Amino acid sequence: MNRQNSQAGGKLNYIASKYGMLSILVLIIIVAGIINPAFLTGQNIINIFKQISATGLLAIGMTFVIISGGIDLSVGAMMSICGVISVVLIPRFGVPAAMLLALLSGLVLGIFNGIFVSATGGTMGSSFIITFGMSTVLGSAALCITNGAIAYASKYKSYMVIGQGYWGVIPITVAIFLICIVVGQIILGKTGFGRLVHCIGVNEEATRLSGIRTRVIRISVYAISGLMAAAGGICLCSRVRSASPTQGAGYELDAIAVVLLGGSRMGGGAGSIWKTLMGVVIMGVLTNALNVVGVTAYPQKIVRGVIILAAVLMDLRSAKAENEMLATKV
Amino acid sequence: MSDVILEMKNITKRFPGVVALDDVSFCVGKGEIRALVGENGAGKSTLMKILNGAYSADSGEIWMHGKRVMNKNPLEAQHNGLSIIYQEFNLVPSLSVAENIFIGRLKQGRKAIDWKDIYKKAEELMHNLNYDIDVRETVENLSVAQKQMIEITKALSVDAKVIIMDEPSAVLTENELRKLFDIVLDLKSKGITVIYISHRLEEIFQICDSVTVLRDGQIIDTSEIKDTTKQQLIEKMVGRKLEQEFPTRNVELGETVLKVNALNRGNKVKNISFELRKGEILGLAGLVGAGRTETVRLLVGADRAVSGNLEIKGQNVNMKSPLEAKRSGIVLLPEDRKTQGLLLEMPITQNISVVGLEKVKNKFRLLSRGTEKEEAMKYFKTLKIKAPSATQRVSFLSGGNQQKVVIAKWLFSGADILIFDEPTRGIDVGAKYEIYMVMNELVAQGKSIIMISSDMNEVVAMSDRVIVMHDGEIRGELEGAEINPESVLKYAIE
Repeated sequence: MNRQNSQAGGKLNYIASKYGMLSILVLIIIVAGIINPAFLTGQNIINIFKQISATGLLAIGMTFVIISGGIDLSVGAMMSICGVISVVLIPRFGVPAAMLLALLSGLVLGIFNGIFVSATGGTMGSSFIITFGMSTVLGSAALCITNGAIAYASKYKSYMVIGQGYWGVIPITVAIFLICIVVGQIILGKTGFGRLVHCIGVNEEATRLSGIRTRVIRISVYAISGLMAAAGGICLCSRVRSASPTQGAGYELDAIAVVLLGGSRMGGGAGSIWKTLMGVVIMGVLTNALNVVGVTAYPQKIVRGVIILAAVLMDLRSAKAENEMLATKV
Repeated sequence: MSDVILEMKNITKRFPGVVALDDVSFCVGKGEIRALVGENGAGKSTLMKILNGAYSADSGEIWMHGKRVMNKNPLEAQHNGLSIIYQEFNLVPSLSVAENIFIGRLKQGRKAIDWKDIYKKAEELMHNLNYDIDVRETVENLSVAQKQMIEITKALSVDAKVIIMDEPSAVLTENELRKLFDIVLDLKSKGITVIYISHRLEEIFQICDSVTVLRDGQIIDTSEIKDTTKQQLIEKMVGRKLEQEFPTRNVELGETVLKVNALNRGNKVKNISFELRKGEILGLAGLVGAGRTETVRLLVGADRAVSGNLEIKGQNVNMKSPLEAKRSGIVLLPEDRKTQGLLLEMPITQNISVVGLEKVKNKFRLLSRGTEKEEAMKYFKTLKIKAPSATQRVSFLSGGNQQKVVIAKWLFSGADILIFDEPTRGIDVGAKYEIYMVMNELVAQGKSIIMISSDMNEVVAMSDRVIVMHDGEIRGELEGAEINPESVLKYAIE
């Protein structure tokens, strides 16, 4: 074995992993821009952000869960039911209260997720099963509430402000998404709570023995995920002027995909909201670029799937490269 | 020595930045029991991994039975008659003993597995070695010593001529250790060579024929065991003269700081009461499984006691969680540092600050990495932590430095009563001395220590007082001149 060479290779891998995602993004933008100059207009860029903000909101919550060493498969269904709640409650409570109640529902359902996951050991396996079960329940409950029909919101003008209004040139949904990104990054990267989310992702037992209430941290993480799912649901319903009980189906997988695409580690301990932002933007730009250059919907999914696979493989390589780089420092 | 069975010639292995093995030649005879000693990082495991085919050497040759062999992978090494028994065994817990012994060789050709035959063969092997283990038993139900026996049986079943044992005694109780010695001697009488890697030098003098010392990737010396002494070995291992194995201390004992009253939990902790004074090191001795770890886990709220209570400095303490214990200043430095004491994938700074994040926040209530680093650097000085930087990941530190990080973390939390569970397990001879120094310094500063240890010399040399546990109960208490290996053992085994 030639260690000298492999060390140089390790360095390359390390650098590639650090800036790899960014370069992929730039590459996609350049190629799409050359094929169709319309891609690079300000309007299109705002469009991209509008399209990604619902998934993006879910992905922010998902980042917390994934860094804590779990996964939340219920966010798609959570998004559906909270969206439905935010519309069907309008006649009784009015728009603002209906929205708040929808957010509260997301929070409470998330807390339930957290309690159950925590009670079943807090492992990746238990989070998978519990949130999958929750997803089934919520998906069905959303259908029950509307009796399978779509709840229309077109007559409530103020409801549509969030999805269709603008602050200056920036759509309100996009502004909400960007604010959540910044706040999320501060919470996760700068606060004691955020640090402990990382800690339980690395080793929950060692964290508990350090005198930390790990159960509270774990439950909070799922609560955040539920809250973000509710926010995503409201934004989506407000944009499309209606709440379909199945609108969120599949969103959970998109959210997981962009978190991993950004480079946060499945299994916990490492990641950030910035990385997730990168993942969301790449996925948004890619989807938009495929549209702009005229790729139809069916093959699009193939391209997106391949990108996710590539991201996960690259993440494995980069984790290894990082380990080697750090190990040789000793 | 009799005919040579294994010879390594001029083995060199480089890793980026270090020469792990530098022109190492190593030769061992048939039926010899050879000790291989050296500090962590001396190159023992690299040498074994090259033998075993897990690594390939940059240069050099391996000869077995007078033939040159290329051990490209562990399977090939096994075919060449070489087996390694690792400290953490390679057994599948949910399978039976027989299945584990014949794992990978269960199926012959296209036929279905002949279970009768497998069990019969396994029983024969067990019988030959005079082991009394039911081959149909599931491995997870067995004791550590029994698992070790299965590993040995497995090695012999593939006709191993050379068996390498990596720290075999680390996990054994006193009784089990004697059994292991019998087994090793029995292997010797069958003409099988054993390479015995151990940190415990006493054992080497009891059982080995010869000893090879490795330091910084070089063979320092190989000698007959009868021609050397423990002192000489240690000096060769650390490369300098050691005045003594344990530092002395002179600390005035103060008032009682901890009072444990009638603690109970299941059959591992029965009616445990004792006191601890300021400035005291209280040894907690006993065999593995005597209930020592279970007892101290109750003291720090890691598990909950069924009954009993705890007084710290005259105050009744609620011990329902590690958080309460931390607030009362009583903390545990677990035996299993890697899974219970440390966040391995995180930097030193964050491992220390996790117990007191409030103390590293800036005026906006956000974490300050600068403050975290400053706090960590204080302990770098006082505890002599050796690492390239305060942000080094703890997984890359040596055992001694990892233990120091755990100590630093609890000092940062402001703990007054530190419970060390096997404080020097898996730590080099040289680094052990430093840990003892730190413990002495802590009690000199007015802290108190409870030390669980299975290392008899450590218990005897370091403790002001010793409590001996057996079967979940306190069997005896020794003080001053009464503390000697014989009396500790007497209470521990009866």
